[in-house]
Amino acid sequence: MTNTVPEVSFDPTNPDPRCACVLVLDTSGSMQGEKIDQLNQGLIAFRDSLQSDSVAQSRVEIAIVTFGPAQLLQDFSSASQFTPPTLTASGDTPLGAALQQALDIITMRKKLYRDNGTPYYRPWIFLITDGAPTDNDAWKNAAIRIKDEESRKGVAFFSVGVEGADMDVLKQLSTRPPLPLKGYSFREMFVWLSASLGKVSQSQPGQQVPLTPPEGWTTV
Amino acid sequence: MFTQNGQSMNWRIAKASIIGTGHIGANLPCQDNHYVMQNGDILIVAVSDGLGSAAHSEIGSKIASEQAVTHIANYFDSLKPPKKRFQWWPWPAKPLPTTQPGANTLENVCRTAFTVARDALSARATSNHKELRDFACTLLVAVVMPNDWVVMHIGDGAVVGIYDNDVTHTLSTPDNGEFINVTMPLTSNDYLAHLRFSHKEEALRGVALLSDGVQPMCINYKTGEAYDGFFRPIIQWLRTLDLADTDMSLQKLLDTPRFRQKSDDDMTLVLALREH
Repeated sequence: MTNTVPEVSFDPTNPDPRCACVLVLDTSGSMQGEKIDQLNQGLIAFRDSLQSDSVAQSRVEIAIVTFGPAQLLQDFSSASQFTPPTLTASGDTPLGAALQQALDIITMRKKLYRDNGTPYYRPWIFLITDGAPTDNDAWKNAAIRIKDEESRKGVAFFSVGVEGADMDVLKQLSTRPPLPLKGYSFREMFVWLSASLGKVSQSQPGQQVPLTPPEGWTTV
Repeated sequence: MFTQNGQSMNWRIAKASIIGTGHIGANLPCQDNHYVMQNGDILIVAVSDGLGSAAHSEIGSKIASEQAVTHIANYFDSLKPPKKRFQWWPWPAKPLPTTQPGANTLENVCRTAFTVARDALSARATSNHKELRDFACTLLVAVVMPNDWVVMHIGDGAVVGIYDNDVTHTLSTPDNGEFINVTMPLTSNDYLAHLRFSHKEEALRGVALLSDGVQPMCINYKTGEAYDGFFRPIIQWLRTLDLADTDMSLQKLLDTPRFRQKSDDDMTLVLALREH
């Protein structure tokens, strides 16, 4: 049996496929106290969980939009470089503006991927909110855009309602029903999110990505 | 006669399909398959990758690759003049038909091979009381003749032509759509609209076919071009191997940590070089 091995190189310009996820986080006044503390702890758990997965940490990319006011707190960075922010709560709840921003950065990210020949999975938007929108009906326009993207399978949208959230509004944002957060179990929720993104980032063509059912942190 | 025996005076062939580490983790079998036939002059290769979401796609890819190749091989065999036990007339003044078929008929037969492959999947689905989509797979076929070639392709993976001085050029690029984990299978209703077909009068020195598990290493995502630093060393290495060892050696190469780190998908690579 021949034991020689050829000195094969791989195309160095081929990047690993990317799985982009935008966290859209409510930092309005009502989140003050225990809620924002637990959310911050949850973000640390998110970072730890992602970075313990050797495939996910190089393929998953995280961006953070907070509201109010609506702002892009962190643009996309590789999970391996993700630094969880320490969020403070104050301000109102311009949900519509925040969602529009999330959709915009995803559109731009996809264009960047395509321009660079980077393969990518369907991006995620993950919304966490505890209140009702204060920017009047702006959320309705965002909802139209989200559902339009979903119908083209351009984005996967998830929303989590923390105690006090207006679940009726959340229901109308997407075809996927919103999930109520049990108490302040942000940590468990973020660990689930990390594992789910990890699964997507390793999926093959045609493979349905069976997510672990969200348990423990929500009532389904 | 076309045979499935990989080695002959004329062709040096290495072929391997191995299961992906991701498949092992998800309790899926290897869903990649390949099938090669040659008759000295002509080489016919198929590679097929069963979709992860299709319950019996490992059967689908096996049937599709075998059926497509066999259909084309049978056609070439049917062109040979029949054996005459005794002559009723003088030996024909016209030259005997060669194994080079008329271009039109060749193209029809090749295209039909895809329909034949798909029909075979339907037949199996029916007899097993399953759905056609349970056998979903991609299909790549290359027919290499002395002076021309045909390549047909549905789905991802790639076909690469090998030229003089071991220069390589992609003959057919992957078809992925927007997301990297989605592709078009042979089983889809509008499969003919997604069948990419090329026939060129050009003499190849060889050909390589690969499933998408090997794409990240050697097919540029942006341009679709074959990466010389991948193919050249493997082609040169193939020439140094014992003919009896080529398949096993290629399998071992794919199973190394470097390859496994780049892709946890099933991997198929078939490399064939014309020796004379």
